[in-house]
Amino acid sequence: MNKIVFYEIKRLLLSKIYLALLFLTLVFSYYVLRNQTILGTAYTAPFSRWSYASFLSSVVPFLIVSIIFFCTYVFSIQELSVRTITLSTPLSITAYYVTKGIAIWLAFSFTSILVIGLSFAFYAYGFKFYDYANFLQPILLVLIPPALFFFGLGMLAGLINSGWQYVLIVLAFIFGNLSYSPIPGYGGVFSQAFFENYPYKLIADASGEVPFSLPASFLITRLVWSVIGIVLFILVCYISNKKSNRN
Amino acid sequence: MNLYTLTLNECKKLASSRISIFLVLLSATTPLVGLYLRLLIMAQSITTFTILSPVKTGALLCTAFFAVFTIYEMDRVFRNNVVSIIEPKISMLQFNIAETLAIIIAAIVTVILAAFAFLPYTIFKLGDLFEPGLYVFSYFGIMLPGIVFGILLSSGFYMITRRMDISFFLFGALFFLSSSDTSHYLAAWVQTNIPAYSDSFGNALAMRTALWNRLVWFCASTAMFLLGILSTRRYEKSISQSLKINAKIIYRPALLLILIVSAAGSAIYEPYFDNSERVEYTAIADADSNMAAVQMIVTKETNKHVVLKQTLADITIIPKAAEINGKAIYSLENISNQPQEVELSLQPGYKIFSLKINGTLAPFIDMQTTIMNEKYFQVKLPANKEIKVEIDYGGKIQENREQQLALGANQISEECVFLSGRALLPGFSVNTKTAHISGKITLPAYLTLITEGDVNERVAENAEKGTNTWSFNYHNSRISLIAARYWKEKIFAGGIEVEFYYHLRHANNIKETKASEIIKESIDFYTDLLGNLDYSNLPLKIVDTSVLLMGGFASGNICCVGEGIFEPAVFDIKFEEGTTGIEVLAHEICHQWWGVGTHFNNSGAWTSEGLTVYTTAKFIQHKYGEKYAQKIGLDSWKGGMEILRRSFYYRHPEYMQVVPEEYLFNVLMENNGIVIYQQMPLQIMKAEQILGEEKFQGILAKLYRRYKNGLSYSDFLFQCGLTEEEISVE
Repeated sequence: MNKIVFYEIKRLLLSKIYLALLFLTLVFSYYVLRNQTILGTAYTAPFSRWSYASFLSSVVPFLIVSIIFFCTYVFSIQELSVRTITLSTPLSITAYYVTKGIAIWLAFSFTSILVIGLSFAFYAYGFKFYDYANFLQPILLVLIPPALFFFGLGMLAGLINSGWQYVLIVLAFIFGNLSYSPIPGYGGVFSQAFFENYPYKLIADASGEVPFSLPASFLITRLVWSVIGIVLFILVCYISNKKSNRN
Repeated sequence: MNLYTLTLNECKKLASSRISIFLVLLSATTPLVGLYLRLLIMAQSITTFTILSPVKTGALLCTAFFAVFTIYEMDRVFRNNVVSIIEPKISMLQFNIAETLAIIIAAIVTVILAAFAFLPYTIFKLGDLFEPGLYVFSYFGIMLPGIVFGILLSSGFYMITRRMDISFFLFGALFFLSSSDTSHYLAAWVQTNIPAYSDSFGNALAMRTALWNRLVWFCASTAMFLLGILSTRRYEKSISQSLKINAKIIYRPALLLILIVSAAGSAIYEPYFDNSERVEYTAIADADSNMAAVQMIVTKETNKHVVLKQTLADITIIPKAAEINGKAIYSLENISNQPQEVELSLQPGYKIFSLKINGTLAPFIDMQTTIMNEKYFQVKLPANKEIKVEIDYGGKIQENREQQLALGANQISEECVFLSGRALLPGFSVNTKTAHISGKITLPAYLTLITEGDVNERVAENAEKGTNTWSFNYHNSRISLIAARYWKEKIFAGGIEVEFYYHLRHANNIKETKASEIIKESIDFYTDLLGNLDYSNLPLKIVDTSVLLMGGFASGNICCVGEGIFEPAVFDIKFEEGTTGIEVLAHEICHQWWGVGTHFNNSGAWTSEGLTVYTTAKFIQHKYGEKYAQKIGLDSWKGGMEILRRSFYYRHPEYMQVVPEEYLFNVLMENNGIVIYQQMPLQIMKAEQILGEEKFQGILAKLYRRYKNGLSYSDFLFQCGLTEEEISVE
């Protein structure tokens, strides 16, 4: 299993498309850091958790595009043609998808680490700021829920018809780049609008900084998106299992 | 089976497919998103909101949808492994062309559906402002070509790579370029970079540049498609072997070559923008005043041994051809008794047909330099004291390439002419302090001409050609011209004559908003407060201009305001979102005292804006009372200061020392608006509070009287008898 996962990751990370996407993501990340994050979100410090969350939520659409792209590989013609051989081994369809999923998530983590590393270098160079442990909460809240949701949805779209995965890329990219959420309140899967607007509602402390205090409703929606993503992935495994048993 | 039959079959197949029907119906509704969200626009006008925003958003979404659909459809035969069945019966080249053509037909149907669906609403919303030509152009010149290019490009990518993911990535990269880079008008191939539509002054430059963009991308996307067709795999051979087979019919590679050359040629030799050298700026980050300033590095110097006395010009403007022809006679004085080399500059799109010095044809050398939309030539002047230079020139405008984002500068069109400086006539880089310019300008009779300086009189009419000739006369070396279908209303205010020019279409709005009364009352108020304008022989000209000129400005005795402010809902003080039209109008008029009548020695936060904003608020207080003045004045300025105070760098100035110089500029630039428009008026208000309103207003009148040639912040403090610290609001 480890060998298969390692091979899958190697295949994903060394693909030309991934490298091109990674390059674009890093260039865009630097652009956001240099022009937006440096000003600080909602009057907070550029290295506040609000500013960092806002930075990550601007870059997230690029990361989501990578995830859905990875999902397209699971359902590509080449992959489908070798799947019959793969599944003739003791590997079950669920294990097959889990292997692919682990590989996708490790590749996603690798991209995210590079983006986060770039931002840390920016803070070190620009502000002599090194207290990165502070950023763990924004990292988890901004990156994981949309990644889980789009991973599940991307897999389901691929199972139905691989064309839908590309439609999903378009929609995720366009809506992810708008500071606008079609879902009222702070329920949208992308949290850019939330991190840009919510801190204005909070009262600053004596030093003028706004505490990083998130409403329960926001945390619940993050959880809901994550759960939906996981449920969708389980659904993909269930449907595929049922189909293969029928065959 | 020929191509026609194949295409028909593909069309039938699409018509019976649920996915394609869903795609067409979904795509036809995408303009709704732009109608609701007002995306991808830079200025406000009702035509922009009702036509441009929906169409640009629709173009963006539909292009993405159709590109995905194209790649998916092209992949179908390979996905289903039916190539070996199809190929013996049908040419795969023809099959790919037919598939692409069928999708393009679906795109045409989509745009026709969208255009019909939104037509009743658009007509209802725009009323008299509805222009069928602009509507048709928007749907079939912006939206449809974007989708078709997307289909051709993605189809080409797929046929070359035969990989869905790579094709999609390549398309995505081009799509991202279009949606993110609006600094070059040719880059925005999907939605174009038209920033806004003018309601009444035409959109000629926007339409011309959009059509050129379409020409470039038609050639480029068709070339990519043709390359894809040539790459179609034959008999399961490799791409290079297939290319060899497909290119045997010579017209195919020849056509591809023609398209590539056409695309590159039309992009390189595009006709609307010049090749101005990038202007060099020095960025100054001033942590003391919380501001960043940009200073242009001037590379051209004037020849001080030569003095320009007078310029006489006879200019003809031909809006139909977007052309200008002119003759200018310059009276120069060479005070050096030596031959002199002087630089002559001209609009880069114009040509000098002949140049005579004292009646004799003289050479002029093209210096191959274009700076800030001025192309430079070198001319040798004789040692004579009195020199007459006669220049015949003309041509079409090439706009400054830095203006591609706004598309709102010099233009000659049938609905509006706006020309300033060298776009009207050439000029010498010499001493122009005592220069005087006058002459005649001929235009179509339906256009009313406005220039700086004296009243523009209609001196001749040519009924046969349908033109009028107007006079102009101004004490300066440069002059600007505005012409449109104007109505001129004369107002007597502040002891001077005011000419208020507004577009005929805006007559009802002007009547409803009582804008003329605001003009009269504001001028009377400023005159009482500060003193008379120095226009005893000149009228003050207040001009309604295109929304594409992005806001208002003052130049000499002309005061321009964007058409959007006269919308009754925007003009009125009840307007709650942003600045009202009344404030904009009163502010621009006030600049006649601060900025035009008095020159400012700008330094840090001290510019003409501080006193203009303060004085405008005083007028609003006089006209609408304390409560409203408080809202747009003190409350707004204090709000700005609150933002400044809350900003991180204001609270922690020590970080100004930490942040690298190259980042600091961005940080401080963010504050410029607040510091100039809110902090400075608040400081001025504090001075008023310390000195008392009456005494302070006396000082303002004194400043206006005494410091016409340069008013600095220290002059202001000195006359107030206050120190910087005393009026500090930090």
